[in-house]
Amino acid sequence: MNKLFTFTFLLLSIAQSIHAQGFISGDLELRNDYYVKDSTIGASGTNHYDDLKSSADGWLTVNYSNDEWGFRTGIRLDMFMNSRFHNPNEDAYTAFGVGRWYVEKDFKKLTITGGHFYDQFGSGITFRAYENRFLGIDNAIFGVKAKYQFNDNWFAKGFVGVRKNRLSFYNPIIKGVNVEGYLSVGEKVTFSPGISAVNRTIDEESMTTIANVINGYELKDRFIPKYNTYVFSLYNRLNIGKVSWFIEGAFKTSEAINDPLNKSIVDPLFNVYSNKPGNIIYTSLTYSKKGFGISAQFKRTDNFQFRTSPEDNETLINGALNFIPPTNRQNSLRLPARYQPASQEIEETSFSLDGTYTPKKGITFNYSFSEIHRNKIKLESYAADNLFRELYLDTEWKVSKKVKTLIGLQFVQYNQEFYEGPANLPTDVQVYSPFFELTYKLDRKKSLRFEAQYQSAQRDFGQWLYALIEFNMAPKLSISISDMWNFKPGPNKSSKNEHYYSVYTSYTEGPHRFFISYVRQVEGIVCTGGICRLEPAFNGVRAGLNTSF
Amino acid sequence: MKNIGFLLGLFILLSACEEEGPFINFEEEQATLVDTSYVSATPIPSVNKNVLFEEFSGVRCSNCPLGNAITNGLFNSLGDRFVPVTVHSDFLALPYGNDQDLRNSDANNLASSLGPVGVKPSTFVNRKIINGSRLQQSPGTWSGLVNNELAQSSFVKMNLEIIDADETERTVRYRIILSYNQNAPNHNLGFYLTESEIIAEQLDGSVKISNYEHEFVLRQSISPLIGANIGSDVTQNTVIIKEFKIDIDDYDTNKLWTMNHMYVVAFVRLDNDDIETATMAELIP
Repeated sequence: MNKLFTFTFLLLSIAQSIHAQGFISGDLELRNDYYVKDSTIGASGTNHYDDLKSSADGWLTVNYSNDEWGFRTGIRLDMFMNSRFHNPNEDAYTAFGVGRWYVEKDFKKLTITGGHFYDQFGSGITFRAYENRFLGIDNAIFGVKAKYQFNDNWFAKGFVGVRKNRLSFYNPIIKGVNVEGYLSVGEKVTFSPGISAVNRTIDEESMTTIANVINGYELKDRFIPKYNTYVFSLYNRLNIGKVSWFIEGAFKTSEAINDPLNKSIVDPLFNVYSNKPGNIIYTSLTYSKKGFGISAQFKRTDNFQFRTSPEDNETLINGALNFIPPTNRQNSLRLPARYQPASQEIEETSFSLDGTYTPKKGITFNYSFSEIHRNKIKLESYAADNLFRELYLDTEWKVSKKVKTLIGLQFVQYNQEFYEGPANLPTDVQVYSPFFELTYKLDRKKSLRFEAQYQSAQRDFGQWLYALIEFNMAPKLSISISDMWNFKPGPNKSSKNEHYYSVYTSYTEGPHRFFISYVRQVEGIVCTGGICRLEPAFNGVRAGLNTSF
Repeated sequence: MKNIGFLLGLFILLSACEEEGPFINFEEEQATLVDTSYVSATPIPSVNKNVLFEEFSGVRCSNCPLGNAITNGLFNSLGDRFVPVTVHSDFLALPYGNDQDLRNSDANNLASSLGPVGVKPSTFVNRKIINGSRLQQSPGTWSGLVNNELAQSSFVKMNLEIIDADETERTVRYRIILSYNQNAPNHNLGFYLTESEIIAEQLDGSVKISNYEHEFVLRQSISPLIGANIGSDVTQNTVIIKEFKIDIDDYDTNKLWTMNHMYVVAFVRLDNDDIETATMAELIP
């Protein structure tokens, strides 16, 4: 800990002394949760509710950059006190330390980075190191990265390092190279091609565990797992006038993958390893002009699990080295966002079609249709085998300068057993969610916003009503109150018709934003960009601070 | 550009290289000493299920002594028909100080594959899905759920016998007899090793009990975790007899386990993960 403070002090001292040439920036995010036991909704039975009663998480970042020197550096202190931030279903986690530090220097066309860094190749299918605090994800790589800019249009980069695991590291070694460029043919046609390759080498300790598990299988299911796995991808974005087409294809060599879907090995419910190569193809085609836009996406994933290790503790959001983009719509409204499918690593064939149309100023129609299947699609059972289907329509209507509305309807068909497990959950939850939002500007700074949503999910939670009213006084104050009412629970739920209230207020003073809320939250899947986790029920108070300088 | 092409080429070349890899045993480890079956001349009488009671516990779980007490009480009152296994998966189970680690990969696999187990104490009752959940979280309901299950009939009766247990060599030879009173669906036969009287510090409410005695702790699955397949063509009145021999030190490389306190647990598992019935026997009766 002394080293940490010495390092921080030195960094700040150096930064102060060279402030004249450089620029210091940073931010602080603090979050406190206070737990109030409520066994009627399942917010109980863990040590947070029984004994600890509170948790705190915080991130303090300080960056220094000096353009004259082509030099950048930064440090972030992470604090997790009785935290359940990374995995709400696990024991309280307490740790404090350097969550990120880095130094970066430009040498003409070459840029070298040492420490923790975030980056991605192509769309992220072969490699993506990123942070998403909302989901407890911090996939930084700790190592060395070099980027060489050949000219204005072409660059190459490469790295070697280990993947961050909270405040320590996963042991497997990751290496990668990526070349990307830009070409134009005439005025309207451009190409942005790229190629990438990544290698992961499993450490001895992880491999021993994997080998022990495989040695426990029946003889017919045993195989020799590989230490090294390689992934390769080719991608390109082609722009022709108003049309843009992106395509990326990737291949992965054989390794032991954690394959719960492979019924031929042992059992679909147990974590089992099978030895398979993988591949993925992802493409999107968009056309847009003033007042009209349309976008189509397609993705096929086959055994493309790329993690630090296939071990049990490196599933879900843990140990991921890449990012498989989702094709379905990412909803943000409370009830329409309840049924979201996580991007699948083992098998998935999905497509979507999205569009927007503005016939006249102030009125916009949006629509989206998406489907997700397993890879073997049988025409005779096409509808029944469907894993996810969404039909979404909305209309944004600016009635006047003061009144703006959003009205729409979402239909979802969702295989809950596939996405949430365990067995015997419904395989075709049908969800209807009409919604309405009204924003009324009281004056230049003050506004009222009202949301009303209904949801029918007969094979799951049953029927919901949701209402929210929010008062905003820009840029300082925001107050909202909402209730999500399970007024007619589904037959499979033992819960009674519960109310899930929330009261929220935030106050902003310059760059500082304070917030406090009381939340009674139902359990459910929370997703961002196709990455999902199961959030248990919560009852309590949340308070925090965000600031930057 | 040439250098980058060289690097990418190197990656492709490396990916084609063969590795020696870790040791994987392609030999049968626990050769079945006896594996025979016959059709009984007399009809095999019907029988009720026993209960495999997989209780999830942890040394840092303040309410788990309450769950343990209920499990021990059920064992004392129901005897052979109640087969307890205490599963210390990772959640709330980090050992205190230098205590034995009661966690193991089989416990975690069980919790993650049939869970998640985010609440302790909790249990599976023959891994049945009851009220929409396999995990039963209210200890007050456990006794009733067990009794409901005991009243159900089973297509198979299990008899588990220890033929020979050598404490010096730390080997055990055991026999399982499966007697079918009905045609059976596809099913697997699995075995666990459990141990009682393990002393390790346990949180109880807000107090740590340093000499807490842990009973029926899952040490190891000695078959694949889901069991070995018996088949889908076993007909009424069939009797299957299998004998196995294990060396405890193959599993307990640190020689921490006390044979005198150990049990073999046997269970029949169906394709939907339900347990049909179970039984257990002390290694040293």
